[in-house]
Amino acid sequence: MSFSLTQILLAVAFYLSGLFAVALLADRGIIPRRITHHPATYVLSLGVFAGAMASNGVIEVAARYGYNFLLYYAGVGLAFVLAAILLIPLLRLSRVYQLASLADMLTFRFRSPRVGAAITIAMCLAMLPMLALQIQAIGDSVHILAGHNREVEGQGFHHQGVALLTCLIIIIFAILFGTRHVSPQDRNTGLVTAMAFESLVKLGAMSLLMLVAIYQVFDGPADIQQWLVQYPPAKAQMTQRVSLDIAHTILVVFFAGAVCMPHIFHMLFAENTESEDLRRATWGMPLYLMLLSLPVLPLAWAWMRVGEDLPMAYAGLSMGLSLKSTPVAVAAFVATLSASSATIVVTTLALANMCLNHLVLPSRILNLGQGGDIYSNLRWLRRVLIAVLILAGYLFYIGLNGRQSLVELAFVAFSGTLQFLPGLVATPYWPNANRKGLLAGLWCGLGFWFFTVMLPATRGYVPEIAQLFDSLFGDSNFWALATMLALAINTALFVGISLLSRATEEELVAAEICSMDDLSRPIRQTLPVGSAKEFAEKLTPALGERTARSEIDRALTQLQFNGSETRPYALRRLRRRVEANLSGLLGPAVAHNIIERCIPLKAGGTEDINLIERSLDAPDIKFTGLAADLDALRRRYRETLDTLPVGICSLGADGELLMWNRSMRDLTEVAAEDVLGSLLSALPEPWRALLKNFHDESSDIILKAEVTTDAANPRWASLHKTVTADGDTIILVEDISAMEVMEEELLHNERLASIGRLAAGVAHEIGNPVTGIACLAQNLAYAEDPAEVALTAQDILKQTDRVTRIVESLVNFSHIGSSAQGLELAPCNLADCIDESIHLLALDREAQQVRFSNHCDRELVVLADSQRLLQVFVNLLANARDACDEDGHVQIQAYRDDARVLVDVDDNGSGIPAELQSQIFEPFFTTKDPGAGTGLGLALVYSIMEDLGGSIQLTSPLQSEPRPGTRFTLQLPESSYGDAFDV
Amino acid sequence: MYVNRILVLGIVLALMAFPLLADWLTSDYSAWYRPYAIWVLIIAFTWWAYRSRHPDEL
Repeated sequence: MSFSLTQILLAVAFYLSGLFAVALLADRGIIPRRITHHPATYVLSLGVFAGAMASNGVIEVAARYGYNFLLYYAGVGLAFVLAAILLIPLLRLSRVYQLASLADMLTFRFRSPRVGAAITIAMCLAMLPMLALQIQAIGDSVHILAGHNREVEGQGFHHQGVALLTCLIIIIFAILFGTRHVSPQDRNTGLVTAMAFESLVKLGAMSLLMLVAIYQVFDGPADIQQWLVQYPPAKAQMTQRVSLDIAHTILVVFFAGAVCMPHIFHMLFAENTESEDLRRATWGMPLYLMLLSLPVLPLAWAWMRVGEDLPMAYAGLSMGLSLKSTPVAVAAFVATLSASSATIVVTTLALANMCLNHLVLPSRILNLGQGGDIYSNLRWLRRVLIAVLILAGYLFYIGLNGRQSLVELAFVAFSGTLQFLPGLVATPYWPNANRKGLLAGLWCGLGFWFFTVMLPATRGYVPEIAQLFDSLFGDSNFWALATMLALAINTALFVGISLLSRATEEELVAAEICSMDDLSRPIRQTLPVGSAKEFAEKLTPALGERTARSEIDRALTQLQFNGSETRPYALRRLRRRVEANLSGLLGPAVAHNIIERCIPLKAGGTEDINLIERSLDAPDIKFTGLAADLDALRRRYRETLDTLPVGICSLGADGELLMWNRSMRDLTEVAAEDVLGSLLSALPEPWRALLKNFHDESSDIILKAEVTTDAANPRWASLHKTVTADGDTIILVEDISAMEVMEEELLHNERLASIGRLAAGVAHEIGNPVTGIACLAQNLAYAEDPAEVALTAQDILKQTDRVTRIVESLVNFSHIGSSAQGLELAPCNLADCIDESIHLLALDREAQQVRFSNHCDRELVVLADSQRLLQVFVNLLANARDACDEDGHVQIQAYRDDARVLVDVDDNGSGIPAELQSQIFEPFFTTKDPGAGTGLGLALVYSIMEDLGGSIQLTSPLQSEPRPGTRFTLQLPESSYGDAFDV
Repeated sequence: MYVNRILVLGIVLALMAFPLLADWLTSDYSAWYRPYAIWVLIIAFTWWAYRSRHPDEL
């Protein structure tokens, strides 16, 4: 039974076209989304890991070493069982920072394009045997199916030609499906579905071969059982034991392969962003591998029974040829073809992305800033790289000249990728690791692997060093020893150099981002741009205008921000998102370089407390022990700050709002989530102006500021601020509205009390004119002379004027509160106002009588509210009077100073001690005897002077004892009556 | 850092039991189902250890 080469190649093309159709249908949505996005599809797509080693090589291992073939599956399965330790943290990084390959991840962690280039070159080198393995499996299978015995003919031109034709078909498929999406981080639904389909085909074909082995080669399970007992080589096979060190080496090598190999990394992380899918893969993938491993032993036994003159790895084909069954042979071929082609496609796709991002783009072959269609250019570059890589694998396969078995090639490739494990493990777990250590360890470990494993295996000789090892360690497996030694050298250099050298600042930041052990402490740095629009302008020189705009729009949409965004917090997030998106497109090294060049962060900055708190409050963070206690303490303090009845807001040096507690929310009616991360300019009035001015000015206190937003409900606040060592400003805002209302009521009461005290004098003052009026009225009754009547009436009018003036003064004094509302600023004659005050005070007969001297210029006019100014002078003069004894003399003089008028109210009283002078304007502060004063008079004066736009100052003593005296200096804006007065 | 402790405990136990398991697997060469029985147990344990607690806790 044999097939013509044309038939076989047509079958290859037909199978790949089937895969093509599946991918196309999935991409176009004809295969329902519930299938293409089902977790099972993702899990099955991971079956790409099981290449020709799983379909062919492992049968050879089983035939030689019995149960030990399971170590291959155990190593891979272990990576998934322990996903919480490595895969899930890596998925987190990959998803957030758009890292599609191992080189992307290590470049992001170690912040060096050289790391990316080194990983890419090393990975290409390590994967050449893996690609050659797949090509060899297909080439051998085609060759065998075509009726040639590989053992007899060896590698001829025909054999190589078959492999080349197969490679060319695979290149077309890989290009068609691997480069449909520009960014490797975009989920390629078609590829994932096709790979899942391929895994099912592989599993189906292998299962079919198992059934054939059990029921056609043997007569069912009972026959196998009997054969195993009767056939000594089978017994020897099944009881074969490998030493523990070899078993451990195989476990570690395949464990590393499952994480580091580019094709599995690509399917695990680049084609998947859902942690839930990975969670299902933790048991789904081991389950798939178990099902895939079930046919291995029956196939190995079938090969032993059939004894066909073919390599063990081709047991399925051997069985088909022996049974002369076309379906069995085709099933065996399809199993090999599906496994190998999938591995080649995804491996070269992943390697092409790595080469593009870490070798081609950093070398600036493609001028990104030139404009044009970057996306199309990238796609073409990726296609060329895929073709180059598959052809490189083919050339490597040609170079091998058939010297190696599939298993040997697999071990060489897997032991090579093991060298990437230290760097990958350090990424989430060792923040002290640095690029110098990584590169030194990697190059030395890989160098040792190259000379002791790769070269000897591919060139077909035993290295001299192997004999030395044999003499040192006895007859051990040199491959296992060399592999572990290479890993030991790699790890020792990595750890040693990392400990002895210093990491750069950039590396430390990246280490914290990647770290799983320590909570990351992001730095809140300032951006040189103020809006999302400016981002596109800054990126245009590097990406071209169209790409820059498209990338900014994409990032804004992902973050659900609008184009007019100006909040610093939002802009920082936008910068990170743009870098992550560019990282998916161009690789982290180029993306970081572009972002750092175009939108550099300003130096300095403080820790981003909001981001730290947000990550601490994440539901998946669970602390234990001391960390839990500290976290509880943090929550308690945070709660305390939040529930304080005083508003607290904290501002960064750039004016960004970092804290906004509940009291601030209640006071301002602005929620924390609306303003945190914004500038003060985002606040509504009157808070915007109030906080901005207070933040900018040098004063640390505002005793009273009106913050009324609703005219029916006037509100006031007092503000205090302090600046921390980091340059942050903390502002305390206290709602003093209730106190203000109460104070106003008290001041009103104080005025009423004053009026009460004045009442007796008023009665006397009014009594005199009233008596006069009564007398004049009596006289009027007898007056006959019209001239006399007129004179008497005039006298009566004079007396009533006097009464009216007294009443008006009283009303003026008691009528208005201290609020600035209803303030009527107008020119006031200063001397008249002072006279009226003196007049009012003279009404208080019970008070100490002192001499008042008003020396003010009669022409001086100030801009004030006359009624409030009257209150000021009444209070000041009353205080001055009370401070004097019976020889007291209160003098008032005024003089101009620029556009201001200064009024000195001097007394020769007892003076005010220096230690009390700072408190004299505080409400309820008094030096008078209990009951003699309320302590509100001078507070009222201070408040009115502020409302009038003036000020008041105190000087004491004025002279030496025994009457040191006090001077209050008022400062008021000068005014004039102007035309109004003339009229 | 939050690592599934049951998983870590499982690894330690598996490492300790590895030689015993290897002996048990090869003691009866015709009992080919033994490794798969252990495998099924591991799959069940992994399913139990990773059953979802949050919709997406990355």
